[in-house]
Amino acid sequence: MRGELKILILEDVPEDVDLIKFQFDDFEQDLEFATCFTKSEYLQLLHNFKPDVILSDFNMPNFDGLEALQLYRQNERLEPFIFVTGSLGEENAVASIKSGATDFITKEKIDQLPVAIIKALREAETKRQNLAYEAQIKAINTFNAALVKNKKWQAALKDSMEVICRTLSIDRGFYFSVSGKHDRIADLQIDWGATGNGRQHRGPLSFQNLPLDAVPEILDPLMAGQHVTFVVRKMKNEAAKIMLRNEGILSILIMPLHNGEQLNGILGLADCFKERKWVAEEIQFLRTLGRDLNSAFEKRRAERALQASEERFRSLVQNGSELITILSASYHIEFASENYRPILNYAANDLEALPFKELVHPADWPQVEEALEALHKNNYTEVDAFRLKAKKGGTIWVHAKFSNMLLVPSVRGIVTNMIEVSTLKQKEQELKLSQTRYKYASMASEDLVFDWDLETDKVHRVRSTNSLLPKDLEENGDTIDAWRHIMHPHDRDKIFVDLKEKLARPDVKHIDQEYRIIDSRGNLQYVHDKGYVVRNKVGKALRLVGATSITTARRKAALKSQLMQIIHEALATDDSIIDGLQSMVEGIVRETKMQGGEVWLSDSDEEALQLVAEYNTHKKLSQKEKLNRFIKNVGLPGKVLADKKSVLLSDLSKSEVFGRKKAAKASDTHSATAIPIRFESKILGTILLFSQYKGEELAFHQELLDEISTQIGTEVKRKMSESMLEMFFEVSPDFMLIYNFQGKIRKVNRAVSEITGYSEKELLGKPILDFAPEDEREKLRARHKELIAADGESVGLGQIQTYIISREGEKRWIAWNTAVVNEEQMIYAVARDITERVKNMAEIKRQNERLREIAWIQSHEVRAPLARFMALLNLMEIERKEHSPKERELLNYMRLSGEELDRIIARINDKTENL
Amino acid sequence: MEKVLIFIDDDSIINMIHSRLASRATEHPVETFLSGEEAIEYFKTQSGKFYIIFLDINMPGMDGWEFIDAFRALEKDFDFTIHILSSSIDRSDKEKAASIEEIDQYLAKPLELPKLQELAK
Repeated sequence: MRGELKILILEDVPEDVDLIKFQFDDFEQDLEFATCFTKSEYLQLLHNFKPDVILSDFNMPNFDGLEALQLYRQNERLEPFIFVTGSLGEENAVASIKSGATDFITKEKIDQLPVAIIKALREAETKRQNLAYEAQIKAINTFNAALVKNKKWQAALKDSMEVICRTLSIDRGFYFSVSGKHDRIADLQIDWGATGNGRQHRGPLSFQNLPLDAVPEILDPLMAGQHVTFVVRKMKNEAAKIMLRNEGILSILIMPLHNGEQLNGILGLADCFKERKWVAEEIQFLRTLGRDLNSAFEKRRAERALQASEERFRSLVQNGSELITILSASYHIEFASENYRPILNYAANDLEALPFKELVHPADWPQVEEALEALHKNNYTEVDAFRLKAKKGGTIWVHAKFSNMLLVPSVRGIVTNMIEVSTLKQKEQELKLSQTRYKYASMASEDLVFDWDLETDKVHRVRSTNSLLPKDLEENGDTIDAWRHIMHPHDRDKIFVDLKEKLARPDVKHIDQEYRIIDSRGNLQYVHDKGYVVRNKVGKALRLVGATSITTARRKAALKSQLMQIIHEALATDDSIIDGLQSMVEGIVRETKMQGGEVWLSDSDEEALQLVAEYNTHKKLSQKEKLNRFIKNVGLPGKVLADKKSVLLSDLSKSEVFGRKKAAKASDTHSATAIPIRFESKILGTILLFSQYKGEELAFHQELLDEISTQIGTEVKRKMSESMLEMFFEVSPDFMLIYNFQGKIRKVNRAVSEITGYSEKELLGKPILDFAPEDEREKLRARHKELIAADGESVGLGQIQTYIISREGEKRWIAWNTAVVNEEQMIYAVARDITERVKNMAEIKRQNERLREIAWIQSHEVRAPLARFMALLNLMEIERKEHSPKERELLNYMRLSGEELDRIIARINDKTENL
Repeated sequence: MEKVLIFIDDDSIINMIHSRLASRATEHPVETFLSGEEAIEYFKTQSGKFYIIFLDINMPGMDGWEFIDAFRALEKDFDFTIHILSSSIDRSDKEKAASIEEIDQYLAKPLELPKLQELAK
């Protein structure tokens, strides 16, 4: 609204003109006034002054306001026409409104004039816009109608262009199609010049084949879907500027037809007489048109694509992979597509009137025929896969769709579409094969693959032919209850409680459990389930999928070694054989989960058995206080002794051998087995086991214990021998003592207590050195070290002697012999009381010493006077030169006697020296 | 060099016998002592001669072995030989004598003239 506002005042009274002008003294906008009161002046001013607002008196001497209004509106002018008058009659008012007056202002309220003008101007602007909009809508409709109706694209575009240009008073309109993929070259398709304005076409446009990429300021916005406007005078690109100027163009708007991905074409709208300022409404209008034009393009493109697709379809029917056949109601071939030749080697006319049956592999015909027959009910059927015979032998697998079009006038047949599925079929076959293989593998491994639907409780299993599943499970169908039924009653509840708990926990994915079942042959089997829990999004368990493997053999081996361990541990302790057998039977009963067990040992002549240990979970079965001795062939133990093999009584109530029927009934004992304890060819005794279940389960344990009966026998025999050794140990007069590597006393015999005066209780567990005298400890400690270091070669170390002070203070000498058992870390010592011997030895030594003393006295003290005597004799011989023969004879005898005495002394000396 | 024969023995009769034997066997002077202590006192004053010593073992007070220890302690630089001359024929005495460096040989009494003549040369 800025800029000069031109106001035309139609008034004959100069004072009133002044009064009107006076109202605009404070008006915000610059104003230009023109005044007149004659018709001729008025018309001239309308043309030259081009008023924005007309203020008119109603009554003037030679002219009247109403006529002025009518003249004004005849030109379809929309500018405000306001009456400013002294008074206005009711009739005039109506007439003036009919003629298009904008407003009335009486001279009393002349001060409201500026506001009225502003308001009127605003209304006029809106009205003008509305009119332009209406015109544009109308143009768009016309334009669309032209595009849609006109099948000749070029002509339609030209018509559309004319609508555009006329609506917007454009002098020239261009349309360029964009050729090629590169959006580089725009071909001029339409050049519309408004003939009405006197311009003639100048011939070929210089911007034919406009290289768009040469003018980036045009191309870039266009590529982005934006329009551009140029005033040619201000253009920077000289080439474009010259080109447009040569065309006589002053300003131009260029708009892309862009579908968001691709530039389809370019609209150019040019003014040749003025430099146009584009207003928003016009741009909006052009955009709408552009969009419509664009959709027309897209539509056209789609039509072209459809056309191409139809062509492709046609070639597909004839050359594609789909065999198309039309069959008569009697299934004779009426039409066969051309591609029968490349696919099956038939020429189309080979097949005409041929029964479709002859084309189908005989084995597959029944299902094809069934599908065809079904067309009476359904208009459409399918056959997943069947074989068509090729002309030169061989087959292909096809998938067929049959459509009943017998009643469709243009077809009158059964349309058959067949697609070759040989590859697909092959895959299916492979899958089937792998499933079969899996099944066989499953059979071979004896694993039972299961899929348990937790919702329906149905279990699907892949069964192996040598399935261990009992028959009734097969017959009763696969429900989890049926499975539950074959589970061992002892395990059943626990397993199900566990399972339920695990399934309820959303984090548990894997189930792993082992339990016992009774198989189809009534044998006890251990099975191991490994399953995967399939859960829904909230963690609810839906299915349990997995495999059950039979682990009996493994379990049997494990149980066997466990039992051996139990038996060994029971009998390897220092306990008596009776206590050992007691803990053995307890261990066996617990491990095998039996109801009870007994151990009977045979006499040495194997004629009778004695009950030595029993462990019954049900006390009524207890035998101890009643009959505890059986002779050969009587009762279950007696039978084992007689038969020399294990016995199984699977129903005690019907057994002739078993006597304790009442007790069995009272304790709900159902079956029993007795296994011999073997040592070499001897039966050392028997182990009895009782079960509250059927004999089948016991059979498992019977077999198991039978297999280890010799090992058990060896253990028992060893224990028995040990017991005998034990007896020797106890009664030996020798001091026997076992102590460990730490020097703690572990076992002593009676002799130890007798010799030392300390009781067994006082000795056991104490360090052995505590009982040694202070002055012997160092020696004994060194010896202990030597023994351990000797590493099993301790025997070479020989005996050691020491003394101990008995409780009564008596000094006792003992001589030790020791054996080190490295495996046990024990030292076995056998000692002998040598106190008496030591005493004797001391006496002898003392006597010897005395003897030595005597010898020494002889050597020194007796011989000293002898030596003197001999020396004197010598001297006599030397100093007396002349001796009478008698004197000489006597001296000689004296010498001989002296020498004899000297020899005797020397002999005594020699003997004592060797003591 | 002048040689001197020394007899150390608690038995005065034996000493008398040995003196008379020596006078027959050699011209060298002879000294006899009844105890080791006396002999040590004598040797303290001696020097420059060759001493041939005959020593008894079993004597009251200082015995033959103890005499040798005391004699060694004098650290005299004169020449000498020591011969044990004992009535003992005990093996242990002979073995002991053999183990002592200063002792030349072990002689069981009585001492024969030819032996003395040989040793006194």
